[in-house]
Amino acid sequence: MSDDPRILELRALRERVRQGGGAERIARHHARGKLTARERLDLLLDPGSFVELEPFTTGRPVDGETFYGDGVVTGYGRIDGRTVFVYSQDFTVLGGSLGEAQARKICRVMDLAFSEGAPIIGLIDSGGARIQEGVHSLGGYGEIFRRNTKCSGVIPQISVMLGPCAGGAAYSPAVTDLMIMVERRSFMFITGPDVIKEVTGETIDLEGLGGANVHMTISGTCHLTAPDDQTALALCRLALSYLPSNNTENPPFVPTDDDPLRADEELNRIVPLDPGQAYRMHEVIERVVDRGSWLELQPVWAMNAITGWARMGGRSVGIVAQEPSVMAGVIDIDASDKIARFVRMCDCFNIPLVTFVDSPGFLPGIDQEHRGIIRHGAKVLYAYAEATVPKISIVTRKAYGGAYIVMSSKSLGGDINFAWPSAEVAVMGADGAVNLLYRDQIARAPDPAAERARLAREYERKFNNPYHAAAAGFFDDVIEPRETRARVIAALDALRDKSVAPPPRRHGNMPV
Amino acid sequence: MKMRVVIEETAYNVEIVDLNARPVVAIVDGERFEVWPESSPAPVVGSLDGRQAPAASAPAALPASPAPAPSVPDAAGSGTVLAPIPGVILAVRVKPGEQVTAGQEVCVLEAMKMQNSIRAKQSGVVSAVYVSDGQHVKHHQPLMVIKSE
Repeated sequence: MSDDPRILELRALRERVRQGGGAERIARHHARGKLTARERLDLLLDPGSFVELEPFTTGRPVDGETFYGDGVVTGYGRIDGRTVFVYSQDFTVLGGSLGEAQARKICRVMDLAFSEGAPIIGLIDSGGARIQEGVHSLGGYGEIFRRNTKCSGVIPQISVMLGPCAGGAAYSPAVTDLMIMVERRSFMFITGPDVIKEVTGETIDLEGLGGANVHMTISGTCHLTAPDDQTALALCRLALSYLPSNNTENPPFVPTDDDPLRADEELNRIVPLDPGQAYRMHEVIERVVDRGSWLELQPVWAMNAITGWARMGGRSVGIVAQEPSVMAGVIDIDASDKIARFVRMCDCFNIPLVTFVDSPGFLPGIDQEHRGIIRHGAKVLYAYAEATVPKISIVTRKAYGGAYIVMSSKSLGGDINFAWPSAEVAVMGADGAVNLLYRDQIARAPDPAAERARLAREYERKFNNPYHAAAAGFFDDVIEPRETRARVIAALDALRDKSVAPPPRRHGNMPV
Repeated sequence: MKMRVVIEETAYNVEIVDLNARPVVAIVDGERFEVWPESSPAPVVGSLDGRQAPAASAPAALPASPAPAPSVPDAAGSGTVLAPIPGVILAVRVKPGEQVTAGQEVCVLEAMKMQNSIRAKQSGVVSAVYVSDGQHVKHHQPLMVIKSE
């Protein structure tokens, strides 16, 4: 034991720092079922790996008082042995509100993460801007947003919402790659219930306005939700296992005992013969990828589209698909946004894309057209055409019209395109096509209905199979469904060193 | 669009399916009302981003209602099953008063040449069915109401 007073003072100060807003506030925080900023970091990071930075930083005095750390704990540690940089807002200190010093601490770890090429993870629990600091607080958000944007596509950025995240503060997570929310205790909104009531007269509570359920099912803002802090942090660790540390590395290889040549016979029976009968694409995905590796993102928003990570032969892949048992697998505005952002995220981080296509087309309707399905749908084709990671697609059944083109088609730059024997590729369905093509012939026929049916059958014979497209080189092969896993893994192996030089330009102008 | 309307200190959860449709379909505490606004469609269209007009047209239906049913437990009125996609009702699988469990198929909707299974999001009792076999339905048209216990 040392009795040097200077060392004893440091130890006492460290203990005060650890106390954050004090024992009483911590007790209240715990009573709400929430963990403290430091407890959360201990759970998130490999045991004993957390190193704190700037614990003694204090901010501008609020009511004559300053707090060590200024309401945020920052530093670095490891997840599965890999370095990550972290910040964790401390709600027990001034409600976790963001002042100038807090913002500077967050920016510092973001800068370190950027130059190190390591992920940055934000654990968000903050009342928002520190009103007492005025423009210094607003400027702090601006500095954070600028760094979020600079880091975008360079290092993975993950936001875990463990409490409120209100006002402009919500824009930082919005720029990050992945948002995880805790149910019932985290909220995100730009203007809160009180302001909304004042301005529009609408009455709503926090949960109804911006709870995890809202952002998971209605707004599409959030990717994953969890019932408590522990699960949310575990999901963050899990998500990182699919991602590289930065855009120049490949995602971690995770050895699997699942045979790359495994042929699942059930896949050969999964697509019903009756084209009006749906089946579950989720089941197809789960049968094809490495067992237990499927992590679906945004699983209950725009459920007609599927996005998520999995591994095949131990390597990360981004899965994109339609779910024919939901809205027939049509592509609408929300599905377009969901797919486009996911494809671009995978492309940022060297995650090959595996796309399962079964879509009758874009959703017809005045509402969709007037809300801009053209510019939303265009994002899908932009994202796929722009992506330079390996792109493999499998048309399992319907691939009609625009939906065929935008979903990783050969013409958009798909590397390897497979079709199952159940695939149908056509500009439009038989009835619509026949009415357009043979209007006069049908009208002149002695029995127009019979003539229409005959022509429709003829059309279906021609287009309701993959061979018309395969003959023209739009498919690289027609495969049995049970061969899918082996063929996709072989394609991923063959394309492992794919390299495409982007054209010289500042950046493209994707429709948003 | 969903809102909460207070009339003589009683609060009603009102949901307007499509303000531009005629009649305007309003779900008040789980019960369906059809309203024909007196004005021409134009002002109603204009009121979409206004504030008072939608609220004013919905409560107009209230006098027609006898005793309003007890409010839907979920403030968002999510007990109403909406058509996820425009199409034709092939089969309604349940009747009013019937008990259903979450995930149960309550109706089959043919759209985009696909039989789409519409399933209950929550367990409860079917309190109203608005559609019948062969009926065309619009996007987000109410199909039925399932009240959770």
